[in-house]
Amino acid sequence: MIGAPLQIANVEGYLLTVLIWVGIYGLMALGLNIQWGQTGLFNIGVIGFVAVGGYTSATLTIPPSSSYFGGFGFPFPVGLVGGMLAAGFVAFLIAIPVLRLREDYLAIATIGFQEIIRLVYLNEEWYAGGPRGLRVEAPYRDLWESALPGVNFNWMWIIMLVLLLVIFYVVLERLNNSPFGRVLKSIREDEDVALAAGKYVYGYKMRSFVFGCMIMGAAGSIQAHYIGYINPDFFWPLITFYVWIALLLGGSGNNKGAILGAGILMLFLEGTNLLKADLALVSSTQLDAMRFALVGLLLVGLMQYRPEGVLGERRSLFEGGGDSGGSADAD
Amino acid sequence: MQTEQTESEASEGVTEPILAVEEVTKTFGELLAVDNCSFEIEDGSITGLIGPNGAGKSTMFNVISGFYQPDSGTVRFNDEDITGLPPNEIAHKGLVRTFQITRDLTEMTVMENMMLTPKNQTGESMFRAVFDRGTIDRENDAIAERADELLELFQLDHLRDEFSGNLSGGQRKLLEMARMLMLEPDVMLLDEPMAGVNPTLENDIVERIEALNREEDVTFMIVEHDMGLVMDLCDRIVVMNEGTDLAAGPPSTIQNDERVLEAYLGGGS
Ligand SMILES: Nc1ncnc2c1ncn2[C@@H]1O[C@H](COP(=O)(O)OP(=O)(O)O)[C@@H](O)[C@H]1O
Ligand SMILES: [Mg+2]
Repeated sequence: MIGAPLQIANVEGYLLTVLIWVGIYGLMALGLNIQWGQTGLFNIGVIGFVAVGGYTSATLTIPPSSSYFGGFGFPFPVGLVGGMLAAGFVAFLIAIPVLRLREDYLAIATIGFQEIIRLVYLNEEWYAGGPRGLRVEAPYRDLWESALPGVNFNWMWIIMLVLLLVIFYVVLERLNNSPFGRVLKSIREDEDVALAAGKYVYGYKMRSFVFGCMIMGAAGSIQAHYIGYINPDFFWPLITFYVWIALLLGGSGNNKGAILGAGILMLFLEGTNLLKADLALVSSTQLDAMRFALVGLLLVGLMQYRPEGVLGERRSLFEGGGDSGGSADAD
Repeated sequence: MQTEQTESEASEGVTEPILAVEEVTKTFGELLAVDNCSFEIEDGSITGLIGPNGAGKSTMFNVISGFYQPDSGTVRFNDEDITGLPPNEIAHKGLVRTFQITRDLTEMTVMENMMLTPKNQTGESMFRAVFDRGTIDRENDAIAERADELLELFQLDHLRDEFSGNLSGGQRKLLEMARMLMLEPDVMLLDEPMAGVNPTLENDIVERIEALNREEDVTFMIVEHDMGLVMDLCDRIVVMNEGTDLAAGPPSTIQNDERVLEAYLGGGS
């Protein structure tokens, strides 16, 4: 699912594919950033919420049929918004009991959820075709081809992703630079302080978590319509791991960093793909094993040399603040 | 329910207690951390809370501020039963606390720390945070002004844009107090605010407390081990031992109280 192997003959198509995946991962990483980067919520079930967004969006937009649930034939925007709302709603239901408990429970619940939801989609064939999945039409294709004949349709996805990324980026930045964002940060740093300061921590965590999952749902919707079909195989936990890598690489806590991290991730995944597809240096299984080793190395290197990621917001802590005389005062 | 000790004081202060702890018990499994403890704090006073290590002082603060649920007993604040309310609601009623081990918002600047606390900020709503920047900017300006005043008072103004993780231990204690003052509290519970602080800074903290008490009418309860300091600073002292209130009264009485001396000698402090 990482994109088509490189075909030198079609560089434009290849680059577009890579960029589209940067955009999709960028959305997921933005969603994770408000949760982990701003609030310290440990969501390790990212792909589960992406799946809910994707499946819901598919169900809402495909034509009716007896071989799967519904098929409501709504236009794409309804699918997109519906997918976001569904992902947000599921997040809300999971969070109700879990966010009251200590942090580790969210991790347990989300990792469990992402596995369960994939199995549900796999086994409940009446709903979305089980392992076969659903065919999902790309929206606006006819419109695009009549308006811009000969222009690669994938530009449509680029435009849509850039629009979504910009919208979410602006919204998230405004949230981050507001009293709301201050409270999220204080929860990330020490939620007892937030409580002592009079903040209703549970409500803030809930809003942060649900909103983050809605963005992941949007990523799922785009992904399903872009690929043109959806089945449980797109939603392995490995993807959650990749989203985390993207965020940590780019810089946890920084929205630009989240998107940048998605770019670095794709460079890495595609770079290693190249070894297999075009240079034929390694086999598929070797590649998978090697990727894991390389990701590990990358992370170790990161922790060593730049623990806050490329654009991480925790920067000045590590550069030391001696200049202002802050730490000069012995206690 | 009044204890003998508080009765003896009815003569010296006519003010109502702003905070009353009544027969509070708190256990951790088998361990009785607070055992049927009662005391009162007068409005406008500086009350010391002393007692040997493990006497239950911090646990008491946690019960009062809503971080722990007591097994029994009540906490009354401004004549209202606040027992079992969540910490955030208690803080918003004007009863705030600091932690014995300073809690930092390490990766937030000193100013962000200060601006976090004021209540009912418009921009705490997600919708307004995105779509009502004008109001937020105006409110931020007003809050920042107050924050700057307090930072100046606490001599932290030169560290305004420093990450609080880069402050010294003493400065963190000051920042924690200043941060909580942004809530404009009626009562502050300070858990060992002078522990690990150098003498100069200790003097500063004492002065701040006295100034706030005098000028802004903040009532204090302070846990502190330095007896000389407590006797100087406090109008009244409550002594806890083995989870319960052992004695309460003005410093002069407490200093000569047999039971207190015994508890301290027995407690090995
Ligand atoms: N969260 C906790 N869990 C278990 N025991 C605790 C907890 N907090 C305090 N205690 C115990 O309760 C007793 C009172 O502790 P504390 O209130 O911290 O005393 P003080 O602040 O007077 O030194 C001690 O024996 C301590 O070990
Ligand atoms: Mg203590």
